[in-house]
Amino acid sequence: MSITSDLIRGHTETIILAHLDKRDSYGYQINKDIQQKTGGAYELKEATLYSAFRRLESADYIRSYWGDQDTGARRRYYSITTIGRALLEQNKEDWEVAKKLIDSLL
Amino acid sequence: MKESIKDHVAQLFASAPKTRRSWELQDEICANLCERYDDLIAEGEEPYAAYQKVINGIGDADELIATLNERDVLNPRWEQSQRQKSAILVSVAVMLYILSLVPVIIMQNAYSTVIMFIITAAATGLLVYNGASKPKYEKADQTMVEEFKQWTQDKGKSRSITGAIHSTIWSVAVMLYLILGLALNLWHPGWIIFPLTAVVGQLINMIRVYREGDDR
Repeated sequence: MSITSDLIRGHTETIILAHLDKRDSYGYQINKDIQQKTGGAYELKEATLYSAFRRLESADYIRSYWGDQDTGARRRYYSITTIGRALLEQNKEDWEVAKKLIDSLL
Repeated sequence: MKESIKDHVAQLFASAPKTRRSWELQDEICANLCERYDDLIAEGEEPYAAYQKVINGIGDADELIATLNERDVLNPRWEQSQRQKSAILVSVAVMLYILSLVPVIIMQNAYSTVIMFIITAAATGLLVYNGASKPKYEKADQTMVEEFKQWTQDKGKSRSITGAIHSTIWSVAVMLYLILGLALNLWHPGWIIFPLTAVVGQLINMIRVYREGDDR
């Protein structure tokens, strides 16, 4: 998993944006979702996830808020912003272009 | 076992600055790790195995901690430039307030009053912008004193913004009334502007209270 995880790590931000585009979420939920979707093949490290959160939030692509929890521990939820959505679309396009390019070269 | 998770995270954060952002991130990571631990236990994992999986899933936290420190290192320079910008805005605003009386003295007619209000509105606008773009006060530590300082600044800021907004809309209202009256002789229906402005002012208050409730 070492080579592929390096390749995928560059797309962490886009993956997060794509997840938040569908609905607001919190850290662990995104992790769980990725594990389920990839059938356990890819595991996103917490440190990578949180670094991405901070980068995205400081550039205003996402914003965060504290959710209400009855169990007493409050969760930090993230939601995507308008420019976050624009970035997501841009990144998706870039990925399509890159995919075609590399496929044609290999 | 969950205590061990919290201890482990606390250890990772040992070299992190003691700021609110740091504590919040630590809380968030702990909460998420604990939830993951619960899920693993529910799937039938042994406590220690689950603990190991959770810890191994963290990855390299050094970069994350480094970014927490980064902001504070760059802070003094950034704060300095913010302070200078703020000083310029305030000086220009005060200058405009003083200059706004010049047309009244020189021209001595009704339009000069209108010009005076236009200049006053511009000055007030600058002050509102200045107040709104002040950097947030970051708590130095978790003590009650710092929490209180931050709360005071937030309250003060919102109150000064509201005050500035209100004085702006009232200046605009008077200006519009004078224009309607002097230029169009509409003194009679024109007075409606004032009750309208009062309503707008209340709406703004409502919006502020609603938004402040949301921030909680």
